Amino acid sequence: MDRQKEEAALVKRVSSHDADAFNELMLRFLPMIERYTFRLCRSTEITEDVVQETFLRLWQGADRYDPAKATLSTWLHRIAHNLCMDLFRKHQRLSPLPDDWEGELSDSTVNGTDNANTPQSAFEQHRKTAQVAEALDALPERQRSVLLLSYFQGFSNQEIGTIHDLSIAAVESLLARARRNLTKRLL
Amino acid sequence: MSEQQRLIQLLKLYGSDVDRWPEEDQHLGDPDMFDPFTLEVWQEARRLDQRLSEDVIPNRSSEMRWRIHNLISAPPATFTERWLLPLTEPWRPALVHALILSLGLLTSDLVQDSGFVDSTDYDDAIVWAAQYLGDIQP
Repeated sequence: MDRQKEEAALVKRVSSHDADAFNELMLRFLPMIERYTFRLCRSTEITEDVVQETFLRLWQGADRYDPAKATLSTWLHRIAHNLCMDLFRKHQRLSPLPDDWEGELSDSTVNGTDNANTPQSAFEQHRKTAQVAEALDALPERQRSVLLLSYFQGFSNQEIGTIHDLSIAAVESLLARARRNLTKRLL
Repeated sequence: MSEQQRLIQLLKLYGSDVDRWPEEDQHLGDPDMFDPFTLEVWQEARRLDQRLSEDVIPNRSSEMRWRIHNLISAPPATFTERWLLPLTEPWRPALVHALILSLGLLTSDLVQDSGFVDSTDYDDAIVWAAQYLGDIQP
């Protein structure tokens, strides 16, 4: 059974409130939804709310998922993205980095190297991260989201088009502009 | 589109990591075969990729998974839990306060009906004290 069919079968089980199937899907998708949401809003509180709401929607509305239209990953990213956009609209702009950011880095990290043992290296890592985060946050909303989905989440342009309701040409244009803007700010 | 133009387009869209390129284009990604201009574009794309890889983010997945699991495993809320305890909707505390006020007014009516006479009169106070001490009969 290929991966997509297997996921569709799990979603079907979730629609009849099978907690084991739901946990399996959380194990597979929660970390990537968390990473995407955090990079989009740069707030641990909002990330937690959005991730929780995304998976509660899966739990309560799994029967609305149509595997013929999109992969489960695409569907979940679309839900998370729309929730983030709703929050953006409500709060206008969110702070680029949370106040407790430095403390969190030393707990555990997703794709970091394990060299944050000394205060010096932790500070250096924090500084670099802050610079990149600032540059990403400075991008227009669509460019940022398309770049995150392509570069960090590994989606194809077609999948990004499905998430954003955009043509592949529009996705490519946003992607190229995002990288050009980042090059100007970071290099 | 020439091979060089396509290469530059790929570098500008996806960066220097060939694994991120569409599968059908990955055979183009050998830097040893690049002309000087393409090599320059490739180096710039690689420097940007290195900077982007510095974006380290916190990981709270297991905590969140646990919290969501607890949420879906919780038994369905009772009527009281759903309507009276989570007083987050603005009209709900108003409803509770209105109920308490109504209860207070009703109780007050009952107290008056019991024949109890409220007084701040000085002489009455002396009489009540005398009755309490048993000096006089009510």
